[in-house]
Amino acid sequence: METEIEERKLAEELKERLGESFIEYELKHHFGKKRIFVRVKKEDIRESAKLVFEEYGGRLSTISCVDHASFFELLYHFSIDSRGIVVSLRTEVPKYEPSIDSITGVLEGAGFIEREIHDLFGVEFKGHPSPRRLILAETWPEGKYPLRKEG
Amino acid sequence: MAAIIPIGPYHPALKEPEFFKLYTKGEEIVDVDIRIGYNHRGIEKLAESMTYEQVTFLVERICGICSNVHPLCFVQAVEDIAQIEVPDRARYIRTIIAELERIHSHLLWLGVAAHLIGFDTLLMWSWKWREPILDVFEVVCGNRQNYAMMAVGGVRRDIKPEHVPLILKAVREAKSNVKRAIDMLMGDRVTKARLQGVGVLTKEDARRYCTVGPTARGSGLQIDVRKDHPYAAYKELSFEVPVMSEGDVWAKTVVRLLETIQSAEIVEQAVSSLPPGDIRAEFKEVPPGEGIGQVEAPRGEDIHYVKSNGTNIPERHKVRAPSYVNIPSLRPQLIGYTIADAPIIIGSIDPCFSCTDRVSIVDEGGRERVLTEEEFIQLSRKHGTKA
Repeated sequence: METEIEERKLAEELKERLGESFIEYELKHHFGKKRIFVRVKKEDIRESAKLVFEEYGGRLSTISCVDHASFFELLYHFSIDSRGIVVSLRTEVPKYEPSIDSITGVLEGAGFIEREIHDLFGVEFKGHPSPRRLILAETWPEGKYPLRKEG
Repeated sequence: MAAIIPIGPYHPALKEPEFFKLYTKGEEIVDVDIRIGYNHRGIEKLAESMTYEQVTFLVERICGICSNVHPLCFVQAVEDIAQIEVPDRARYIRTIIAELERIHSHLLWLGVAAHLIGFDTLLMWSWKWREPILDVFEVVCGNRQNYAMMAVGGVRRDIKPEHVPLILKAVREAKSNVKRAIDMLMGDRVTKARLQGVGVLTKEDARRYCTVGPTARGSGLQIDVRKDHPYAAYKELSFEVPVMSEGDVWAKTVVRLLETIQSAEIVEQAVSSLPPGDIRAEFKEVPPGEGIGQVEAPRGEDIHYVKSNGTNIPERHKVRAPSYVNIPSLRPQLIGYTIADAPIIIGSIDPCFSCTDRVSIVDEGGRERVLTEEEFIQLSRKHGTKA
């Protein structure tokens, strides 16, 4: 399909631009909806997000965190509106040390969602300008994370 | 030193709980701290214990104004995983319901916004204009709100031939009424004085905060999920996306009003060219995988991420409503303006709050602390027995 070529082109371009940070990509095409899932190295998340935001016009829709028993998977969903493609950067953080660089410094729009993921999953975002609680009450016990599978 | 003016969590100018702490010097707002979470109901956790069929109804309860947006977004994410092709007729019906909802939502907002600036006549008019749309919903779906129309693979109810004239009459009336509202506002110096040049969100800030919907489009960002990532039947229908570059409250108002006219036109086209056929595709199961659903809600892009493990219960379901990204952008919009403008600036993003109980007190020495829920209950009991 013609449209798939468009996604593959962007995916290949991202692969080249991301260089060392890039691990793999996966394309999904569903009746006209275009998605690219790109796995990147955890250490390079800030630079990768910056690239998609600044150079490709990606608008950060949200970040979703998935509990995989021994690790958390974080998906940074960027909408590249001018090309109609959703690029999701995915990376993993181990549960024994759930910590990753914050991207809020690069992208103000990530401020709330990083605080929310910290509240609900206990993932630490290093370098967040205001790492306070966002949605949990002050009376909620420390170290209890409601969206973790065991919680 | 700046004085703190708390607005919320429960405040006459806010229709839902949310806390805005305004730091002020005289009349001017110099900084803002926004707190959310007062209405957090744990829907994402609940969704991990319900079947796909049940989650569709659960997410319909996220919002009472745009109640169709979340189920539509969720079913699209599931269709994304299971590779389900939705029948044409269902795609059209989804579009009709979504656009009727946009019309009633924007008219509701117009009334609230008018009320915030003391223009109560327009509040009465616009809520009166909204009623016929809700009547249509009652006839077509059986409910004025929470329509329960969406289902994985299509829609649950058909639009019958006898509904068509009713729908057409209602949207044509809405269109002419909105045009009337535009004429009224364009010629009104007082309204313009309250809205123009107030609460400006620059294009740069709109992009930096990743804003969506009329908030972004009022600041010159040409984005709309219906055009950029087409779903339902939008690709086949012709419509325009109004964009303004000023970024003030006025720009957002005009964008919404022009949008309402476009929605009416979309409904007219869709109803007149409703294709025959099934309204729901059959599917056996949801295979393991992940999917994303995107919908242009009246307030902007709504996005759902669903992960399936092959069972009938989603493993993970992430919901991000449009106001979640628009609310943080209120900080640059409020700074530099006066306290009197705060309600309409907050109202200008058409916030839909998703928010628990806390109270903030400032004692006479200027120190500030937040009471915990227990302290608050204790305090209430103490004073309760005194009385």
